[in-house]
Amino acid sequence: MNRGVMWYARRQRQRAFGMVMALAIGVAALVAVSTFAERLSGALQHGAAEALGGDLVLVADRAIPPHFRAEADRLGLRSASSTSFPSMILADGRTRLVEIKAVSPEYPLLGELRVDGATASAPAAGRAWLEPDALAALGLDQGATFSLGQLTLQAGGRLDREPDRAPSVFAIGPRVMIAEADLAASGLLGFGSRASFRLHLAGEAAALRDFAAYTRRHPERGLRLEGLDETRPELREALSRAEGLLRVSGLLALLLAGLAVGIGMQDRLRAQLDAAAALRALGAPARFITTSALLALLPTAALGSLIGVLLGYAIQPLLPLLLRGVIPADLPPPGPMPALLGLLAGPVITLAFALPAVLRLRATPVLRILRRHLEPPPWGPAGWGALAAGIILLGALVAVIAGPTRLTAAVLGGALALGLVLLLLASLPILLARRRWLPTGAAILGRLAQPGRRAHLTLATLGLGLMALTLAFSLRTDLLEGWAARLPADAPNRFVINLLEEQKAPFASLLDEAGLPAPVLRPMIRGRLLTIDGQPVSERPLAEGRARALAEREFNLSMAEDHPADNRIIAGRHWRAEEAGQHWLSVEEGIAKRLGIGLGSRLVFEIAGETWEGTVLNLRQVRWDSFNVNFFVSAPPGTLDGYPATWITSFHLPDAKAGLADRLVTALPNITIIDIRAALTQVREVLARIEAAVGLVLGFVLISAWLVLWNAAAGTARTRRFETALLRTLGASRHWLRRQLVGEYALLGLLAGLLAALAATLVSALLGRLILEEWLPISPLPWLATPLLGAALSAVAGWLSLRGTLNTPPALVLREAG
Amino acid sequence: MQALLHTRGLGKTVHTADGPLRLLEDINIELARGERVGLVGASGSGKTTLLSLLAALDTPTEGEILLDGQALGPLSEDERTALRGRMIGFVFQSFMLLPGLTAQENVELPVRLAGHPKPSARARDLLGTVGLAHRMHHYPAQLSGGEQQRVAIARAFALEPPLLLADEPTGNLDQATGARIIDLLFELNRERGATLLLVTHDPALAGRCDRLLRLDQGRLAAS
Repeated sequence: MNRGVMWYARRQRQRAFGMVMALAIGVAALVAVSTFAERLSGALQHGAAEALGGDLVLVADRAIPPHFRAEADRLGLRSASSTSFPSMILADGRTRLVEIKAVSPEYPLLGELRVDGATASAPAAGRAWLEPDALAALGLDQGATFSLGQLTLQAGGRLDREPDRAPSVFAIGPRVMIAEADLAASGLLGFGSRASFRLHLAGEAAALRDFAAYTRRHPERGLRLEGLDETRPELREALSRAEGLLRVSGLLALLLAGLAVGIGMQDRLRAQLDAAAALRALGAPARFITTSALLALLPTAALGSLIGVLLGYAIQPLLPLLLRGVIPADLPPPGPMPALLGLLAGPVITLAFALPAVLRLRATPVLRILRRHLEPPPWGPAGWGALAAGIILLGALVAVIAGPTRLTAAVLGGALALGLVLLLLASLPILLARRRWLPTGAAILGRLAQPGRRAHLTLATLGLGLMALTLAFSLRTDLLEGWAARLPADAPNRFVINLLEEQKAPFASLLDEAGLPAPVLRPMIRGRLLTIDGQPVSERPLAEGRARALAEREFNLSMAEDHPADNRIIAGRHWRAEEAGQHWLSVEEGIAKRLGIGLGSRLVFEIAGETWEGTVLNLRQVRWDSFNVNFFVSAPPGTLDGYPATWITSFHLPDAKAGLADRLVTALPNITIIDIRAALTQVREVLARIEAAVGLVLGFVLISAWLVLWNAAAGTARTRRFETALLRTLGASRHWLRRQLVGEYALLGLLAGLLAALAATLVSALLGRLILEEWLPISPLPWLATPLLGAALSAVAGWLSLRGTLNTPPALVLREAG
Repeated sequence: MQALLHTRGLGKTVHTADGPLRLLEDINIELARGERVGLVGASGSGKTTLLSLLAALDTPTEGEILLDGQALGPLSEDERTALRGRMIGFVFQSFMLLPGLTAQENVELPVRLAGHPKPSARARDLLGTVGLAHRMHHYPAQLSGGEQQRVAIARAFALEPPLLLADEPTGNLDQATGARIIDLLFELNRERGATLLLVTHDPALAGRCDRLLRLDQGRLAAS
């Protein structure tokens, strides 16, 4: 390297505040998100065995055959069993829906069970550990008794920690832990109850492998083995989606930071063209220009990345805080990898977005020293190539360190595509202004359209940032409110399950006494699908994990003369009254599609140990969100008589009569009443927390977008200073100039906000159409708030970066220009 | 004594939308060592084009240039750049100082590019010679036009090049300052024995040269 290069590069005193800020914000977003993701995956992996409740867990929807436990004993594995199901507890006329977990004395195999602030073991027979919510709901004191089904139990302690408990917001009620020995006496595990049976195992790796091999040799339908690599698949999936969203937001912030750097570099380039030409005339080779320009960027990249890493680590604790309850509580401390990622990603993104400008600088014609109008040729393929290579390198870096996900790629691709669409949309007003097709009142817009202002780029960038934030905060409200608003006021708000044949009459009379209409009770018969058209379900090529899960689990079959009003037959015909008892089946279209079931398909079920065959007569479209009772598979009345059934219903319980729920459970202790409003509140809460976390990261995207604007505005300072001097010479007051400046940038932000509102409304409407299958009313809030926010942000950016130009004495400027 | 700079049948033609345009035609010049030559002519006569060819900033379409016996034609861009650094000093109308470097650093720059020893000491010496010892650590923006041009002259002499090219060196300066700059330029030139080619509109300045080359519509009118 030429000795002069370092010397020269060190002397490049350039304003890099905007670039450093942009890089710091972009890197901070990436680091915060990566740190959070790393901690989360650490929690899921390291705490996995504990969170799983064992090194291996055998899970079934029926009692696990005893030979499995015998095999575990033979292999020298430690084992414990547990059974979980929702139920109601009752004390002094008050009830609460809870999650019962009946555990064997060996529980927990791993981790710590804490009761009343101290380590505890499984409850003894007759006693129960209850989570605080359950104690509070029933007003129970220590030692008081409560009922669970036919059982009376003593509240033996407050359950503080259960090692394999899912994060609280996924639970439908607080935990009540009882002894396995009490389970039978509760009478709650009758036919049709929805319980999950687990055999927890811990021990040597070889023995665990042998046990896994044993389960493969003895396959049972509805029975699966969960290992460390598939802990809580449903939780993992939900979290990986949230994490993907966060990661994309982080990357987006970084890419926008890159854009800000690119814009900053273009301005640097303009200022350095003369210097580059002079250097070439003085005998500096072309590589001197490239090397010194890149070296001069080093402090910017290093400082920006370093600040970004520190900022990222500083804000990362906010994410678990915002997501408390949704993610495991005990996250491991942050590791050094995200810092490394940030320290590498910062310079890479700087290089990627700076290189095109540097390559242009290198191409400055040396003749410029004599002919000042000569410019380097515009970006060539080398410039685009450098940019593309840089972005690909960044993507690879993130993929290697953070792990590639298809979702990340898809959402990032979507965001970039949306950015391009916004860029096109943003070009429209600029084009109109340039062609002078706008009324004279839009003179300010004409100023925006001046070349070199990069108005369409800043419009699109700010628009993207505003849109992302608008969507993050309006989507949940739009969709949930849209859904809630669609429900009639008297839509069912309580589900009742596990009602027995002999309880139908007392149940109906309790409702009648309360002045409620007679309930529509539907039988529920559990059956396992064995074959479709003679082919065993296990042999069918079911690609999707969900289809496989649907096929493996037990179906709830029902009978009805008529389909509910919210069902629509889309193929085939409904059975006639005289066809009662015929082995016809009506199948919900979604599941039919997943399992490859069509009209005329013959389905064989195993019900209560017997096989039963039916033929599909029609396919139904079901509106599940009506909260009426609906079934995947239904048959004409009389068809499934004789099989053990429980009954299910849903009804509307007005707030004034809420006490009826307690009376129902007191009278019929085995039934379970699910409060839909509470479930909905829970869904809202989960979404609100994810929204807050994503919103936090998207806030960084918006700041990055704002910094792009800031950098672009700062780049016009030279021209504006000259214009200002001229205008002041011509008599423009400072007040007038200030109004022009703020007005111009406020208008730019207003336009960006309108673009953002338009894009957010479109995305929201499309998602509403896709998810709720109807066009939601357009919410006016984004149309008001987003443009105002945009105008304010943009005016501030313009003011902060350009206010200095207003104070320049005209004479000085004219001399500089001369 | 062999001429320092020698051109034979030099010409430059560019292609425009209206067809080829001859900027220079059949230019034959010899500049002796230590000679001070003025290049004059109306605007558009080809002065800047000729200067850019002689400075190896551009390549001719016809003829050849020999600088210190070496033909410039076969040289690559990098070789021409190296030759410029070694052989040619520049003084421009718009000074062309690097705004990020102080006066001293601007003068040091060519010395460092050439890898010569003690660049700072040499720069300080030269700035002292042009009377700017007290302004060494000022940036160009903090210097007056005359001071900036004196820094540019010091920079042009930093490597003691045998050929000094000056393009309207007083064009951006008032008359009195311009006169002082010219005095300095001629004095240094005399002291260091460089060959000076001076492009100017200023008759007074032209009058101080040993001889004049007059360009008219791309051709040498008189010598």
